[in-house]
Amino acid sequence: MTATVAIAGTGMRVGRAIGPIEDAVRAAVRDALAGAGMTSPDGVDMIVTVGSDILDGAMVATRSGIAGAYGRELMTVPSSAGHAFAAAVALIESGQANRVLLVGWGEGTKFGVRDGRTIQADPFYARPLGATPAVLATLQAQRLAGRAIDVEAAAGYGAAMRARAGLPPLSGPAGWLVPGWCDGAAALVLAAGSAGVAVADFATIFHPYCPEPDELDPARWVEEATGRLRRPEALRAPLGAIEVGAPTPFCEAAAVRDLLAGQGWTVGDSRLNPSGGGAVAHFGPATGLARIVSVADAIGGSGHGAALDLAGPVGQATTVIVLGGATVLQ
Amino acid sequence: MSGERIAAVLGVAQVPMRTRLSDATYADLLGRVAHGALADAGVDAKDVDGLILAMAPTSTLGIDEPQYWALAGLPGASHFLGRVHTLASSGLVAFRLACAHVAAGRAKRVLVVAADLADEAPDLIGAIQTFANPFAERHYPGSAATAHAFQMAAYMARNGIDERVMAGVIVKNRANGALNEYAQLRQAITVDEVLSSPVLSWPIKRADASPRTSGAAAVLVGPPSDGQVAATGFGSYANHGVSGARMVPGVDESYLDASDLAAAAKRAYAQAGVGDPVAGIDLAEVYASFGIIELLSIEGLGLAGQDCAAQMIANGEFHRDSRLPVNASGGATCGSPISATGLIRVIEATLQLRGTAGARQVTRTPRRAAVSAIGGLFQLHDVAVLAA
Repeated sequence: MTATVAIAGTGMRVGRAIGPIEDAVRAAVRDALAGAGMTSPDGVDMIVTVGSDILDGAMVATRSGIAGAYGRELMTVPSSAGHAFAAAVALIESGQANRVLLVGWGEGTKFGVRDGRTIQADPFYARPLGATPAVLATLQAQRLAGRAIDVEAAAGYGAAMRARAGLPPLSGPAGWLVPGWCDGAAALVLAAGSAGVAVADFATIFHPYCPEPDELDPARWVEEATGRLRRPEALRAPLGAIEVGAPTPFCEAAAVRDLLAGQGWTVGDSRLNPSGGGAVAHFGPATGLARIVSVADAIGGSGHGAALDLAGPVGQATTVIVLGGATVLQ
Repeated sequence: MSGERIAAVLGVAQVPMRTRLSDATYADLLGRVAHGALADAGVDAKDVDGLILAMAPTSTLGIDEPQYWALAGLPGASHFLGRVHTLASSGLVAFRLACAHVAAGRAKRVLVVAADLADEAPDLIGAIQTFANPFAERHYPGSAATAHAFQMAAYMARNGIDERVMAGVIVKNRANGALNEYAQLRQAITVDEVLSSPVLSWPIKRADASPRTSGAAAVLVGPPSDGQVAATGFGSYANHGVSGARMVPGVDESYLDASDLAAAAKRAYAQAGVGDPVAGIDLAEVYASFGIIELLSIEGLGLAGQDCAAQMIANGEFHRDSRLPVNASGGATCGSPISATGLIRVIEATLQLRGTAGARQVTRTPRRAAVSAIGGLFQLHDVAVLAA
């Protein structure tokens, strides 16, 4: 398997008390640049950002300086890490850029104060019924519980991930419906024909209505995205790591179940979410970047890994990314 | 890569811009323009394998993440490639991203859609305040008018020209807008009428500013082929800086002289193989929500020497019947739905390059056009070059 784009450097800061988010972004960027052999963004010719539209009360596009965008080409794709990743790779593959700094951030610890009336669900039909993201996540769990995946299995998944991150278990529905809201920043340097972890393949799918009229099953969305890979067989080969980020532990456990079965893994396998996944560290649309960084770091220069980014209230913006293999110099 | 055709504009559509579009929801508008662009291209919906939503400040519209409810049924919706948000340049940046996906071979036909229902926005001023640094500059009564008044006053002082000369760009645009069936403001206006309109923040008057606009636009992008307008170059430049600090002469004069836009243009021209823009560009569509922005954009694009644009317009240049028309559509000062305005600039340039702009078609059909858009208070600059 060959690729023309590689992840040349990564950086990440995630936690519930990581200080000012601007500092976390700068630190993640610094690490990513250092990994790519750079001491400043001068060697990068484009920056792509992902995350909330607002950072500390200011438009993200006007605060992009914290990511080192000053004087450089900039694109902001805030909808999901998968979308931003696809944008960065396409910009390189199309010759628009040679080295792209992809950086995202979010402050999940502030999500509790968001106004549910303005977010995501259909304002004409769903919001008047009280369809906040939390309600939609619950509907998804009710829809799938006992059929696609048991609540106990999802709770076990959440507990396993929390244990991996050194966190105590949560009792009741919180254990499988509440993600580990945190603050975070993640950065990657993507480069054409560079040394590093190759971007072997990726594909994204989208279900544009929420709540969805279908089964709300994220495993089917992962399957659908996998079917759009140029080389879907890559996910059937032995993987060194799988990282998944979804709106809830339940959604994550449901999304990854077929992949786990295909790999012969259980939720306790150390190659599943080496970082703990989104179940223990979720900071909004940029969460998927942390998953990509974790896979890249886990597999290093050998083997293959997969990152699953499920964004949106029930994870219906689904991107499957396969990393690893050789990189072809352009 | 120099002058290579990156991707083609297969189809375009827009709706007439109005203050209020009371017969349509946001989703309705996206649907209208999406299917309009496909009809223009002669492409079936099933053959669209990418969709991008341009949406400038979501908080402006009181809507977050509309992709989860407003895209259902749109061509390419199951292949949604993301929402682009770079303020008023969102449409142009989304167009660039669509071209990148096509040129990379990741998609064959990518549809870009954008819409605004500005009359339903809860608080435009509040949204614009989020362009500013919340700690350093949220305390002064900043708005788009006050911010660009700094630029206009400095331009007048630097060049020793008065408000009558400065009004020329608005008179030009409103005359062009009168011929544009999609324009919101379709009445020609005189210099005296510009000068007698209410002062918003001296020297900016109401007639210097774009109206509050609802509208929508869509562009379908595909692989380049003969006979179709194509993108040949892109460039952008981010100046994230605190806008207030950049209003001080001697600190960072890019706010006053458009040197950041010039840097973006330099990148786009290099990619497009444009050496001398005065010789190589036949038409420009520039996003300018105030007359002063158009003057600075003309200069930043290298179509006029620094500080020369206002006088050149007074001398008849950049008019619709001139050698190098700028904003033959009337530009954003005749209507500017923020999310879609960058895309509308692409559409208007495309129509002119095709020679199908109707009553507003320029006298000499152009072969190459520059398109520019600005995000925030001169904080982001994007330039594209299109070729027939």
